[in-house]
Amino acid sequence: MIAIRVEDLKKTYKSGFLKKSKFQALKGVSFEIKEGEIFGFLGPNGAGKTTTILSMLNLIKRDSGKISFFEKEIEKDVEIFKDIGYIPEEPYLYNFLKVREFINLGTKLSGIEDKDIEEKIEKYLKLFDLWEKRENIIKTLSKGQKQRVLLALNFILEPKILILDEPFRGLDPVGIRIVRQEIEALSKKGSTIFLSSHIISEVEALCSKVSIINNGLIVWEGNPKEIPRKEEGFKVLYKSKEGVFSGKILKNQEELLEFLKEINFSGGEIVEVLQETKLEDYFYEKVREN
Amino acid sequence: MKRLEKIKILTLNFTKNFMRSRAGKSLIYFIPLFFLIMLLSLSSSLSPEKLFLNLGSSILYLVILFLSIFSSCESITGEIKENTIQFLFTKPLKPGEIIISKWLSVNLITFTTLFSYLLVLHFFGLIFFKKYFFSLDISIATLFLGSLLLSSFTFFLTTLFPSISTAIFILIFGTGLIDVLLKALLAAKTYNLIGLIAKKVGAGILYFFFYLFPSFNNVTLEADEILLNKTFWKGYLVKFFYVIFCSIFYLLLSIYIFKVKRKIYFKSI
Repeated sequence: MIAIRVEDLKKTYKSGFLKKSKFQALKGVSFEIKEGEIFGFLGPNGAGKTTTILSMLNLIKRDSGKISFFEKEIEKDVEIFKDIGYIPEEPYLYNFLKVREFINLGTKLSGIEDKDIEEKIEKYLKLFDLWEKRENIIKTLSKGQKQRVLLALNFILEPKILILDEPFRGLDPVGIRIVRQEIEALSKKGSTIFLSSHIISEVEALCSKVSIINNGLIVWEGNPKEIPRKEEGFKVLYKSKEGVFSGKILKNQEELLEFLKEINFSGGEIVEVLQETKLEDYFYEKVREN
Repeated sequence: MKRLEKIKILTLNFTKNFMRSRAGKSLIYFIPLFFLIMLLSLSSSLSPEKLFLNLGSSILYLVILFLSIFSSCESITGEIKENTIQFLFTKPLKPGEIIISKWLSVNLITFTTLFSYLLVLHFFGLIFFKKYFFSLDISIATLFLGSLLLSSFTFFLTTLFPSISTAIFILIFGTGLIDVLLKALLAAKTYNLIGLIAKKVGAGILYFFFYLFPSFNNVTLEADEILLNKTFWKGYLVKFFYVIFCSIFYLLLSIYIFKVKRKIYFKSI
């Protein structure tokens, strides 16, 4: 079954005196996401990712296009939001509620009346390192902790569709790992995940389908694992004997080994070796082509 | 989940959120002001009783009207400014449920403050003057109706113009101007232009708008008259139903505007 269907979505922002200045943010975006799929949404800054999400959630007016969740149109029934979880780019929370009160508000409004809800709340608050802060006012939390509150709430709700807009932003490496694991676990339970992120490696590792958006148009769509295998390159950051930091791009493993030997012999020091991902190459290629 | 349950949860959480904010906490700062009134009135060489009553009720008016206008404005515009409205719009909530919960929350805060201050005033009255001031109750009864009407009207304005400054500006100047205009139209004679306009529009429609417009003249209860004629409840009930009718009218309008404009609130993104 198709969980999310977006057809020919168009959106123009108008501004200025008499709204004469126009900017077309979306020029006909279409995609389909199957139930249980983890869908990655990639794009450079200003490509139209957040506009697509806000349009999907009926938060902004669109020029044209059709959006449906489980074949139901979002405008017609607000009850559909029972099945949708949303984590925005910036964590917007009621600053003067306590963490526990906010979680309770979210679960009650979404109509969750499980018997084991208390256990679930405890589990996720502990997982996101918020259990000790459950009686704290949200205003006193850091940005990363606020993001964790929203993440915890959405994982407690276990929605059928979870829309995440830059969920890794503001999180430390431990937080990123937890979110990745929870997304996978939620997907295994049958939930559909829509993941918009700048972290290409995370998208590549998690998603079974990826769309790349640029200038308001989908420029590529497919399975990141099916991208034609190219020779994978390496980025090497090193410090020379004189203490100068430099970088070098190497095409393959043989070149890399040779270069490492060379640096070792000259008395230099390797700082970092990064393997360029296939999706990252593809992303840059497609964005540049467009 | 039942609609009433949703409204109850939202109302309680909106109230908590407001009361813990700086604006909410500042309500407590007014209590020392009441001590000051008491001291001033006792030290006066004129009639201490009269001074106590006048100062007490006028500060109460000031606090409650300010609170009613400010919290109603902040209730909607604060959500838009802080973007917490995203949270509400992505939950299974209808615009009516949001607006009604907000309105109930604002009035819960206003009336709790109103009755707390009334208790403080009565306490002082009984301790220092050994008297129960019934006229204070009448002031509060008027204020109760006035703040109900004012909060509903402010909700209508803030949903229409979601900015605190615009809404307050229109509330103060716009309503004053329309009130004066309506009064002028109603009092005009047919031989001048205003009178001709009034005749064209029709007295019925003019009176309808005159009473629909939030005017304190329509809810004021005259203490002396009430005490003499003992018609307190009769007069009060008529005004109470009038306020309820106007409030429902403005709330329905607010819900409609909120529904239509919900997507425009995000245009800045």
